[in-house]
Amino acid sequence: MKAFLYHIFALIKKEFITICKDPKSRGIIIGLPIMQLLIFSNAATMEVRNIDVTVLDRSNSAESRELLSRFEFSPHFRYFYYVNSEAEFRKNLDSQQVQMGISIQNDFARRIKDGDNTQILVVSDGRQTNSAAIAAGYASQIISAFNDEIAGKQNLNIKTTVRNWFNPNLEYKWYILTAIVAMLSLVSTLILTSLSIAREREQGTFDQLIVSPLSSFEILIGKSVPPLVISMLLTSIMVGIIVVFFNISFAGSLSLFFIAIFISLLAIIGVGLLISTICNTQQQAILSTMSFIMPAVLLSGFISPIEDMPVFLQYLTYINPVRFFMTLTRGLILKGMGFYDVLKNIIPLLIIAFSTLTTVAVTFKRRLG
Amino acid sequence: MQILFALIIKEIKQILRDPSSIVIAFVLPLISFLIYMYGINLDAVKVTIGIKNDDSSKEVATLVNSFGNSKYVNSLIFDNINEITDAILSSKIKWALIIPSDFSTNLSKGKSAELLVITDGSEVNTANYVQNYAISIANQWLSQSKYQHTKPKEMVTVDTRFWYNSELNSHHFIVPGSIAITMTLIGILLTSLVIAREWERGTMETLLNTRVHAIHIVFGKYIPYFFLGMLSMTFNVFLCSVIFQIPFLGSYIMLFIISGIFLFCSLGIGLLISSILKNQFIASMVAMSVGFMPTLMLSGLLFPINSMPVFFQYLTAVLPPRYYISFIESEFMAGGVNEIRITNAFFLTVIGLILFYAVYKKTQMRLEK
Repeated sequence: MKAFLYHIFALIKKEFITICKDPKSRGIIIGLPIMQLLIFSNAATMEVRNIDVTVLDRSNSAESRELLSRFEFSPHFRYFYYVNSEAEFRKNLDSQQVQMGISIQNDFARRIKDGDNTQILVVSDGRQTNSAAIAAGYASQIISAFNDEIAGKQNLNIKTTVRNWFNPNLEYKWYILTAIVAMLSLVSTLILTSLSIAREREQGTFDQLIVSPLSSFEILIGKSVPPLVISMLLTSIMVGIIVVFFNISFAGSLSLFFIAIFISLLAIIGVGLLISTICNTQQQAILSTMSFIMPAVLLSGFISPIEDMPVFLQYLTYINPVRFFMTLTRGLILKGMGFYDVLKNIIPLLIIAFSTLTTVAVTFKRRLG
Repeated sequence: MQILFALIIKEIKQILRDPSSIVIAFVLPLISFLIYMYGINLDAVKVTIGIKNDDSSKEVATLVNSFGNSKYVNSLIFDNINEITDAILSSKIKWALIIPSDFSTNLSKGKSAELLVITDGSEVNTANYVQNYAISIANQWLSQSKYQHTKPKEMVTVDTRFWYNSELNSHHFIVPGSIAITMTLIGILLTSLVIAREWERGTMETLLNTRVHAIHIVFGKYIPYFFLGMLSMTFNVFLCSVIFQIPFLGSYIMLFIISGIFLFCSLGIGLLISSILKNQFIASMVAMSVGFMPTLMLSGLLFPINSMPVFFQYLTAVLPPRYYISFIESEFMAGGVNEIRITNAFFLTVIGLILFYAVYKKTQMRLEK
């Protein structure tokens, strides 16, 4: 037992020295993710704001100006470019100077006065489908409010009262912060682990490690503990920043949260070490890591909901640790997920961690020569 | 010239010897196309909802049915609010609709009736979507129900059109956009390792002792990887338009010219990282942070640049993928728009040349310590 602890301690110490000896790398491991957290969470939003509009108002009447002023006062729209011809209208849209075009016919005012139906053309730039649909939605809301007013009476309609649980004002930042923490921890942890054995192989020191008195199990622990400690530290700092600077109240249980992160990171470390044992050079390791990270992030439910994927891909996400990691960070930080739901997400992670780490331990020695 | 030629041959041999870089040039596009094609859907998403109906009238039962029949929702019926709470907490349903007991009474009296919508605010985008779903399904039901005669006709109707992508198929922009991600990765990730590797292994010092000029080294790195990148680009375009049948309205010549300029930028970023950091581990960490993550989060592919706070909009100006994505989406969907081609090509060229100069200066510095 004493020898075991001594071996592991020595290896862990050596690993920490390799990772942290260089002040540049210390700064990069902790500083870079935090910088990204701050930038991405403030910048990236799926809300559609600052829509620029080009207007072709052939009516140029009190009625049309009244309608357009509603657009101008709406917080969603920003600049308005008034044009006089169809060609300019098209040019503004083509060159992406504006994201929307509104065209009003010259009989607009007359028809309203006569009580006739009239039509407005709203063009949305479909090159960005999501924004286009949302912007078009804003436009029809404004026009329908205008309709109600010129009709002069209260329409019979159904209203909805909306309560947004866990995030009453639907702050996009809250959503993206919890996803980004998981993504950034994933990237750092994977690079830390996937390069660790590949680097030793490239430099030839791994052979020395294998012929040393250390057992496979000891090497495995020695290789997993340092990245685990660093990643836990990094994730905790990031979550601290979220809670302190972004004023998100932590809804779940803190101890469950740390257990959840611990197991998520363990699963990711398993994947990283598995990549590392397969690869002979750091180049191979980093390219394989990338080939893992990209699908893992894109299919984690962050960009597009998992229920919406084809069934085959839905099953594939069961071996994606990021999927569970993200559900856990979001669930625990925002929703206050209970023990049972946490457990449901932790079990697949435990299975991933166990199967990858055992494979790594078994393949260590076989891979010699 | 002979020296340059020799260096290029050496680099090509190195690329051929470790086929991981060639594999990645073809595997990465394939994986990403499959994911973007089948795994990612930014359009109207199908979500599961819970319905609790407190109004026992017959008419309202048809409202519940019309939610059940909508192609955008799967509905589950709940009897009490606690079950709904649990279902939302465990992400079984994304939102819930509660029909209050006086719903039909209000409508028959000609008053506006109210529905209560509860959303899972931890997934902001879905929460935003479902509010509109609820309103539009309910109002559609209203217009066909027996209360319909009280609904006045609309004076101004909106003709909404989506130019460049009339069916709002998000694959039409996200699949070409993913070329940008692949090209960034190939450009940055591969090259970020090559100079760092030479420093790590000591071959750079040997090289600097010979008559080889910095300019030879720089070109010797740019040229082989440029060809590899363009090869991958060709494969990308082949997959995109031949296999996945994404409509392409622009010109292939322009596509390749501007993609070449973009690749020149990406290679510059990778080589600069590599020559500054001189360590494969740190270089790959940085490459991921300036390559993959910003391309995903800040380039305008998923999150509209217009909606970002002003400071971050300016920040995106230094990111080559931002210009490339704007160009490639337009080239695919709108055909050749000269303003877009010229502006984006101009900024890409400027960034590319600055990076090239920086790489050259950095390589010239020779042995410092």
